[in-house]
Order: sequence, then structure tokens, then C-alpha cells
Amino acid sequence: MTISAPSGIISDDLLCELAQHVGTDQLLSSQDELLVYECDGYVVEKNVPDVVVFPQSAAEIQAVVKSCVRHGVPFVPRGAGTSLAGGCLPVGGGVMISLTRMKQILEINTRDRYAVVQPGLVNLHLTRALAGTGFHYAPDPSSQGACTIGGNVATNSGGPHTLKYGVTVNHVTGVEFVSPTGELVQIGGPCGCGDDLDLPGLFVGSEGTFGIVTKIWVKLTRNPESCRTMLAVFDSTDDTSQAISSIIGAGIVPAALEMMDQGIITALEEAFAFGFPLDAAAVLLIEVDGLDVALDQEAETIITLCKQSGAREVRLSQTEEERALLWKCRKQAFGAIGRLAPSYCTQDGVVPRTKLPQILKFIADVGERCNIRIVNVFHAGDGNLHPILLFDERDREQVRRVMDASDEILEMCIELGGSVTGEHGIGVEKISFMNRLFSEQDLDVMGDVRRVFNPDGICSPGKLLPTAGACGMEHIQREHPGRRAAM
Amino acid sequence: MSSNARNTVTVKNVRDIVDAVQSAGTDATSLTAARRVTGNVHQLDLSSMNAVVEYPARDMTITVEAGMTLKTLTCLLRSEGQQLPVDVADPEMTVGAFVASDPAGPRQYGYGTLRDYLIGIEAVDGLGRVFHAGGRVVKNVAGYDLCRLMVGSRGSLGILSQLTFKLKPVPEQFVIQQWQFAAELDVAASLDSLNKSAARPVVIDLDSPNGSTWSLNVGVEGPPNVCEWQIGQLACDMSNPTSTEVCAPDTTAAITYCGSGARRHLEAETVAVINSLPSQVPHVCRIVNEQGLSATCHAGNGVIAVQSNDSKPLPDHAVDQIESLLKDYGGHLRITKSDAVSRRRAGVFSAGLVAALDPHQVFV
Ligand SMILES: Cc1cc2nc3c(=O)[nH]c(=O)nc-3n(C[C@H](O)[C@H](O)[C@H](O)COP(=O)(O)OP(=O)(O)OC[C@H]3O[C@@H](n4cnc5c(N)ncnc54)[C@H](O)[C@@H]3O)c2cc1C
Repeated sequence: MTISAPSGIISDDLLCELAQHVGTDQLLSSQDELLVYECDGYVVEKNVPDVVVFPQSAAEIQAVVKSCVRHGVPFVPRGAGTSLAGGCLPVGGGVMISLTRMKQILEINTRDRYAVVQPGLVNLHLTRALAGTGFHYAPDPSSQGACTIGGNVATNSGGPHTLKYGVTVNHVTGVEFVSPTGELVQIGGPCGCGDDLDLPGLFVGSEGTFGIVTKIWVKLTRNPESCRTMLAVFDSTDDTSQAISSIIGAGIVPAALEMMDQGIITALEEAFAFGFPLDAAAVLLIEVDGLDVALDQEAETIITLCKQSGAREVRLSQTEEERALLWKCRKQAFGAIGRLAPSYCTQDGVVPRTKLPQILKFIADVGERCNIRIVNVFHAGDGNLHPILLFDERDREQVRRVMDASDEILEMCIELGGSVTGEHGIGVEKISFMNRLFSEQDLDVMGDVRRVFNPDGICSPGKLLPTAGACGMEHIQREHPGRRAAM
Repeated sequence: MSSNARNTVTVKNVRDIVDAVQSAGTDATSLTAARRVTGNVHQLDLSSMNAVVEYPARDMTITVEAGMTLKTLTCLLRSEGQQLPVDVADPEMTVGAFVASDPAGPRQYGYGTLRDYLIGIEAVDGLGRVFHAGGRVVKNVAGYDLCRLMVGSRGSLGILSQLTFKLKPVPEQFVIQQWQFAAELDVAASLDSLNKSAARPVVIDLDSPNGSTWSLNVGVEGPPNVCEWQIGQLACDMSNPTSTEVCAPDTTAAITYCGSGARRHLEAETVAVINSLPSQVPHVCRIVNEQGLSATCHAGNGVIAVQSNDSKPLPDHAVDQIESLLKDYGGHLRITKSDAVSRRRAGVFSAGLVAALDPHQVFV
């Protein structure tokens, strides 16, 4: 790595200090190297950080943060950079703290059902390390092969199996972090918080605005003894939504309940040749897990409910290979979308589950009206939509229509009693929706809460709250009036 | 809003709560929604705020006003075959008080605690600001998660006025089986096996009254054939039990058991509550028993209530011994009965949050 002359807001002194803290080989400052870090999975807003550091210990992070504070320079943590909301965007420039070198599993204790990990550990690597123990780490974002547990904590990630097992916050009992003033703090631990407030509960989902996570205590979950995986095929999306509602309404909590519509099925079939019926309007991927003795009955009830709701056919996976392929299709659905259009924008709205028929119809209408092709693959059991808007980013007119369509969809989610984000977070992308979801007083209180952790606003400025740490926000507002979409 | 001579302020809506908070701020008096009040404190009576705001049963969520009693909430949910699977210590307690005090009973092993079910709040902070967090959908990451912050905050951050929960279906059957033991080693070995049992218990409780007999109460759920199968599996997990018997033969009895398990933490006999690692429970119980005190534990979660028949406190040397053991792995000990007033052990950020949301110290 080469150290170049500092740019923007970084002085020579600060650059020297940073190099001393982490070592010159753990620091990037030349423009061509920094370019990689100009954005995360949300590529609309781009801003190159002035420096990227790769600390290898909490002490190094403390030193980096203290230097930034002394020089009044903003800093932002980054995991794998798969955020779809611009959580890693260095708003106003400054120092990016990459956690990818802190990726160790510090402890696995299956008797007490917890593990202690460093923030840069890739989600899937923990579950891999647990293979054969009878336990796993439950939150399983579709990006789990790349995203880090630190990033998951910051965004409170979900995934297909969080319908039954809960999202990240349900599996985190403690966090160690470097505060925005440079102190090393532990909240919670393997035995929870004791008599204190539930600070880990507050910290999870704070999108990097409360400090840099350096250690995480996560719960381990028993592997289910067995599972049944079904693929229900429908001729209409209305019937599909009806089936979802019937299953949940019947008091069954599947481990996963995922919907894929015709557009996605076509792309997946081309990519994986699973044997999806190309003329189907939608399919439901349904998995129940638990004790083998209970599952046949549960699967039978689900098959009956799907058929009563109009399913043309319900296939029960007969082999582990078939099940694995079905899940591969689901988890790599985003990869297959590249076959449909040069660019795509994924939204993350949520509606009450019973409102799925309404929102799906609305999404189809919006697509038609805005002349944008929209396909859907999403966590149907949670009502967590992922409409994917297909377009060509070289066509500015299309980009505008995609933004309009995305806005309309998210506004309808709010109108139907839902939210604009189920798992991707607000980041910079959805900031302008915050004052539609929350009142001024709600945001005031949230602002006060943020200031308790991040008094000067220099840790991840410009994220999550519309009024947050001002530096750099003006630039975003000017270049992209209104909401920006993840593309 | 009305008040009486005993300093009880009856509120009918969130506006009344705001008025009460603001006048407490002006008069420099203290305010609480708790039922037990000491000293010169104004007590908020939210019992008139007991309406269902929204119950879309097929979405498996419910929004209620904070003054609704748990008894009313439970009945309502039962009529739809649903539950908030957190054990109710006192059916007359209001939903708001339940969230603020966060009692956790036997089923926390299988279901988690209130923090896993509260998805939306409306509350009034010490400045009289009405604020909301979360929403009414089961998955939502917009904004800071102030819901979890309010769980167990004991009224220190605000008065809850409305709450939204996600719900679970009521299982077909819920039963609890008891096994007795005469040796600590057998208890420890049985608890180790239960951790990897072929069954999937939702309750693992241990009673250790005196250090010479132990009883392990294990609850399972599901259709009758599944419960029966699980009880059979659990029997294989037990190491040299001296006897076994049915503790709760049906759902009603099992729920009653869980209610009294949750109540135990609130009883006068409970002199301390310990959060330990589950594997350390037998060891901690031994220290407690050696002091002539009994231990009742949600052993699967490492939660231990230390009880004394004559309200005798945990002696200092036992406190030291337990605390040094807990320190090794991050456990906690909370003395509930002592001459000194029981104070929350809050870190700097908790203190900062209390100061931010209640700068005039309106809430006790
Ligand atoms: C193909 C694809 C599929 C996806 N599927 C899902 C899904 O199923 N469910 C889901 O929830 N998300 C999903 N995502 C979004 C994304 O993967 C998650 O938000 C993930 O948690 C981000 O992890 P990361 O390590 O990439 O974090 P980054 O993108 O690097 O950062 C995300 C946020 O976390 C903060 N952060 C990172 N590390 C730390 C730290 N150590 N301390 C404090 N803050 C930190 C950053 O500042 C930023 O605000 C998907 C993304 C892609 C590209």
C-alpha cells in the first residue's frame, strides 16, 4: 500500500498519526486505491474517503478514533460493503475504518450456547465453524457468504429463516465497541445486561452511528432435527398472497416462507435449470423445521392450505440435493437478475402480511404506469418485500422513472401501515422517508439518543436521521433531490 | 385528567400523560406509573387507557393501550388461538408495567423475553414529548430501536402509552414433567444432556432448596403425540433420577406453573437474582444452599432466584464468592433485599440516556 499526499480534510499530521496507529501497510490513501471504497452495494451516491485504515485490534481503532476526534475529521466503519442503503458512504469524506482484518472467532461455547466473534467475521464462516456441533448462528441474510457480523449488527440484518428464528437483535447478547470519543465500552455479554438498560438492543440497528463494533457475543441456536421443503406453484399472485395469509393465520410458523414471481422464476430457470414452471405467476418456497415426528403433519396442513388457496401444484423436496438446489436458487436470485437487465434497484418495504395482495397489485400497476419492469423475490412470511426494478442506468430518463416508481411503492407501504425498510436500513438512501414515518418529536428523541453516544456527530455522519451530523449532507441533497434508490 | 388526595393522577389519554409530566416538571415533583409507590411521588393511574387500538389477528400483531391488564390481553388473544408467550406473574398488572419491569419466567428458555415481541411503542418522555418507535409490522429497521430500550427500563425513560406486540400461536398442548435427583453431579449431567436433547424443551427449571434434593421441571409443547415423544426422549437425558412425576398435565396447569415461576422473582422471599451461565447453575446453587438459602432457577437460561424463608439476606461473603465467580464470565448479581435501597447498576451510556430523556428527573 502506498501513502500519498493527503487530500481534502486530512492533514499531513493526521495521516502520519494514522500510519503510526495501524502501520503504513494497513492504510490506503492514493486515489486509485480509494476508488474501491467510494460506495457500497448502493451505488447511486458515491464519495471517495480520504483514507482507509485496516486496524487489527480494538486498541488500534481507539487510537484512530482519538486522532480523528482531535483533528475534527469524520470517520465511518465498513464491513464487507454489501449495504444496500449506502450505510458505508463516507459522507463528507474522512477516514473509513475497514474491519475486514478483524475476523477471528474468539470463543465458541456450545454448552452455554454463545460465541464471541470479531466484527469482520463473515456471517457464513461462523456457521461453517459450527458444523458438526449441532448448533448454528441463525440470522442468514442472502448475502451471508460475504457480509460481516459487524455489518449485520449495525443493520440488524434478517434473512429467509428469520421468520421463525428472529433477526440479528434476537441473537446478540453483548457488544464491545469503540465509542465515537475513543473509549472502549462493553454492553451486555454472555449473560445479558443484568440490571442495566438493554443497550445491546438499542445498539443493534444503529447503522454505525453509535461507534465501531469490536467484539460481539452472539447466541447459538440448536440445529433443527429435520425439515420439509416445499415449492407451491400458483397461477396468480393473488392466490399466492392468499396462501401466505392462510398459513400464517392458521398458526403455523414456517422456518421460511419466500415468494418469487414469474420474472424471477424465468431468470432462475435460465441460471440453474431447476425445473421451475415458466408459465406460473409465482411460486412459494416454504420450509418447516423442527422435530421429525411433527413435520409430516405440518407439511400436510400447508399443502392443503396452499391447494385451498388455488395452488396448481405443491412439490415436496424428496432429497437433500433437491432442497439445497432450491435454496441455492433463492439465495442467488439477485445474481440471476443480471440476466434480465443491466441495472437493478432493490427496495425493502414492509407491509402487514394481510396487505400483500394489495401491495403486489400496486407494484404491478406502478411498473406499468412508469414503464419499468419490476420483479419480486421476497420474505413473504414477514411481509418484507424486495421489488426489484430493472433498468439501464445509462438512460437518465429510465433512472428517473425508477426513482419515481420506488418512491410510490415505499409510500404505499407506509400507507398500508408498514415501513420503508425491513432489513437493509435507512442509511443515506431512505433518509428523506424518515419524517414521513416518524413525527418531528420522534426524530428529536432519536437525535437526543444519538447524541448520548455520538455527541459531535463525527461517527458516520449523514446517516439514518434527516437532521444528523450535518457535514456533507448538503452535497447529497443538491445532487439528488428527493429520495435516491439503491441500484 | 383528575387527581385525588393520595396523589393519584388518573389519565385517560396520552395528552393527559403529557400534562401530568409537564406539571410534575414544573412543580419539581416525581411521577411514576408503578403500582407500589413510596414517598412524595405522584402516581399515574393508566387503568382507563385500556383499549385495543388494533388487532389484525391474521397478521399476528396487536396494538393496545398501556393500561390494559394482562388478564384482558391474554383472554383477547386466546379467543384467536394466539399468545404473547411471556409468563404473566400478575394478571392484574398493566401491559405498560409488564414491559417496564420485564419479568421473565420459565418459558424464556423456549420463547425469549419481551424484547423479542415488542415491535412498536408510543411513550411520553420526561420533557412531555410524545414519541414513537418501531411500528406495527413484524420486521422493521427504520430508526433507532427505542422499543428494546424501554423494555425493563422501569419507568426511568418515559411513560408508555401504547404498545404493539408480535404474537405466537398457542400450541396444541403444553405439559411439564418433573424429575428428582439426590446428587448434584447427576443434576449437572442431566442439564448438560438437556442442552443437546433430541427433544426441544421450552422450559428447563431447577429447584435446589437445600443442597440435598433437586427437582428439574422440563416443559414441552406440540400436538399430543409430539409431547409424548419428547417426554420419552427427556427421560433418556436424565442421569440417575430418583423419581419422576407429571408436574403439569395440561396447558392450563403448565401456564399456571409458568405464572408462579415468573412471580417468584417478585416475592418477598427473593433476596437476590443472579444471571449466570447455564453450565454454572449447579455450582452457584451449591454456594447459595451452603448459606441455608434456597435457589429456584430457570436453569436453561442461567437465571437464579435466591430465596430465604425468613427474608435473611445473602451474607456478604457469599455475595463476594458469587460475584467473583460471575466476574470470570460476565454474569450479574442483583440484591433485591438489602438495607441499602436497591439501585440500578447503570453504565455511563444508560445514565446519559436517562439524563437525555428525563433531564428534570421527573420519573422515579
Ligand atoms: C445480494 C445481496 C443480498 C442481501 N440480502 C440481505 C438479506 O437477506 N438480509 C439483510 O438483512 N440484508 C441483506 N443484504 C444487505 C447487506 O448484506 C446487509 O445489510 C449486511 O448486514 C451488511 O453487512 P456488511 O458487512 O456488508 O456491512 P457494510 O455494508 O460494510 O456496512 C453496513 C453498515 O454497517 C456499518 N458497520 C459495518 N461494520 C461495522 C462495525 N464493525 N461497527 C459499526 N458499524 C459497522 C456500516 O457503517 C454501515 O452503516 C443483501 C445485500 C446484497 C448485496
